[in-house]
Amino acid sequence: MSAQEIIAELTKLSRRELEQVDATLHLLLRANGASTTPSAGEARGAGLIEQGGRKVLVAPPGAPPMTVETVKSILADFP
Amino acid sequence: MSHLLDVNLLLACGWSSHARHPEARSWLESQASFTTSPLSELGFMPVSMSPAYRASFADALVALRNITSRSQARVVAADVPVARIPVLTAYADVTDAYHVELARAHGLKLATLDDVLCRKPWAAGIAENPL
Repeated sequence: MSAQEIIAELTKLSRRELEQVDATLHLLLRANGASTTPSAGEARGAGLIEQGGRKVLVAPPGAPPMTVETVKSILADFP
Repeated sequence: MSHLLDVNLLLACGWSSHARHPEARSWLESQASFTTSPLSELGFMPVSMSPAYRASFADALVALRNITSRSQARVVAADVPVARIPVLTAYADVTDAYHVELARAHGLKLATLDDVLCRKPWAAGIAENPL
């Protein structure tokens, strides 16, 4: 199936299905980008910062929003 | 009633860049007690370390422990038989349904950001979005 055919099919999807596609595309684009030369910001992973005396994680630049759909997509690949 | 945190709420509490982090953190700090499970903690680690977010194992563990080491935190074992899960039609629902049954078995509510899960018939009365 060509890219144009896939794009044409997208118009038939519900909002929830489009959100799943969106989350998957984010992940695929990031995985694809990782095989090319990353920018300085992209090369850096998540880091810890301190907030109110507690350490929490902060996402690297360009990371996709941590939505329910993104989390489901990632966990779907988890054995 | 105390809450069992699912992976989405755990991530919202542990990641400052999560869109719901301020609300999740305020909610967590307002709880007299809360509970995690091996399932939610096992979800937190791979999502945090995934290519999308690239936390190191050590950093992800620090962030997780900053939640689970709070004085109001406790953990329940995944000690409910899988056979207790209701009949499902979607394979993607299995883990969520197990978490719902785990919460039910321990007299807890399942706290989640997944509004679709909250509307599942088998999650009624147990799963809720507290934010």
